[in-house]
Amino acid sequence: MTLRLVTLAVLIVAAGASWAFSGFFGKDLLTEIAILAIFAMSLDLLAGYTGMVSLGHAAFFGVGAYGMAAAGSLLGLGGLPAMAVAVAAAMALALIVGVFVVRLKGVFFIMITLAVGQMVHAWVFRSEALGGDDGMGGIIRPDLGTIGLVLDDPADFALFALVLAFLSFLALDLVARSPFGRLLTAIHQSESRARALGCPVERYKLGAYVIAAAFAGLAGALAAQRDYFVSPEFLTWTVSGEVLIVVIVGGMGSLLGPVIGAAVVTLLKHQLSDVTTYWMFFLGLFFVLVVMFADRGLYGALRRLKRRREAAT
Amino acid sequence: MSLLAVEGLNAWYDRSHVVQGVSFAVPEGGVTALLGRNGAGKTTTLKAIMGLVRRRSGSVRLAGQPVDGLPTHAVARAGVAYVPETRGVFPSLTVRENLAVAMRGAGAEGWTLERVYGLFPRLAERSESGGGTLSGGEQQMLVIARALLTNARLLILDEPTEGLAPTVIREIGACLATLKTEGLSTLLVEQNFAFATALADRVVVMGKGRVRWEGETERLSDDPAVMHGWLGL
Repeated sequence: MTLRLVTLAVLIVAAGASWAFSGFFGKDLLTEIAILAIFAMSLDLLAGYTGMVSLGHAAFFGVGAYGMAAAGSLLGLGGLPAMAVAVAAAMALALIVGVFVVRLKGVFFIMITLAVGQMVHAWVFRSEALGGDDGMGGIIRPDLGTIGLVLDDPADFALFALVLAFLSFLALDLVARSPFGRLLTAIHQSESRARALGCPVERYKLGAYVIAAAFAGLAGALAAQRDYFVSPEFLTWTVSGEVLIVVIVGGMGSLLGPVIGAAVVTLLKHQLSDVTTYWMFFLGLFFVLVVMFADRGLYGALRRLKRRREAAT
Repeated sequence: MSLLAVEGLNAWYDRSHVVQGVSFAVPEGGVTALLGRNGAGKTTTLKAIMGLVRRRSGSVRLAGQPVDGLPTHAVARAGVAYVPETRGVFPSLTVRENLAVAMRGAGAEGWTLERVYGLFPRLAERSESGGGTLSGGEQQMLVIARALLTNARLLILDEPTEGLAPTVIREIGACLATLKTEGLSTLLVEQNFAFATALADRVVVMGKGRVRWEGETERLSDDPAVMHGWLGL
């Protein structure tokens, strides 16, 4: 059995067991992990597979969250149509921004995505229609009574978030393993070689950018439902920075790594803040140690461990 | 009619005028070798043909159609497969995946995965190995196979024998000879004079950014001024 399948099975069993045996706080934590996992996997498609390290990914997360809130409270849409609007809004923004930013590389791409993220934040912060710095409430969770789920119940909502995280993994994994995904990896390793093979690099990068935004928008829509509230905080650059750290800690270019990263970072954050007021210092120390000693993040360390054991036997 | 016609090609790196009004033609079928000393402008000429040099001018036509204004991917899709000096294997993709990224359905040239595996059996044996784990010779085979799968009409190879062992060079040479007999047109840049002239029907000699000699391969050795002055032989 491959490490990938074993890791996936362990994650599913751990999530299922936590859901079955945890109380209110545990289920809320699971929801937080599931949302962060979707957000981190979306960034992994961009940064890990395509080599587009973005510091503005919170823009799509925030637009998804605000799309969910606005579609419900301003347009009067139900939960599921509002989620579709949220995802579509994030994709539309990515399409407009992407046409310009996919032409840039390296530090220029990082800086322009940071700038775009800050522009979206500033616009939302000043927008009276979106509640300005007070944010927006009135968010409705989807009605899934037909399949026996009452999403206003924290247990059912946690299950909904976990299932969406699993489906997001399957969808992104399908993208990554498709010929399109393999070309994204090829572009990451050498744009000029990919071009010489007839690949319209900018079009492929734009495709990846829009797909990543769709899943970031989905994560944002779920985050809005979790809090029943959205605020410009969803769009700050620190949100982009945090999700990038989650991807790096978990292991870029693996999809499962960011899921591990989301779980580890969320649990550490909560556990450390319970025992010390200096929890951010220790969390930072953990990031430094992972980056220094775990080549390609925690999932990369697992891969190395497996290779060593295979070599020993 | 020539398959590739290059006329008055110029290319610059910053202020340095590296390719200066280069004109030559590659006939349909057969191998044309582009020879010259280091720094003669051969690689830059290839890059300018492919649109990989930002500042360039002049005319490049493929089967009569202009390709000089096109972006690199469009030149490739028009039928030019370029194998750079650095080989360019995608290290984290397997051999099969490296080949798959080049496939755009069966084209007029009819190259399929089975056909390239037939030409390079060693790639078939290593189809699930990572591109980064291949030897230099295997990597060269892989990039040539990948170029063929784009169903190109013209194969451009930049120093395919560089850094390879003599046995592997012979193997690559045999594959290129097979491709020649199958009618594939090839433009070959090579420092290995013996290898290039054994394969090529025509030779273009470059020196200091210009074409210094062009003609049939067998006539090249009759011109000691070119052999000594521009090839250092």
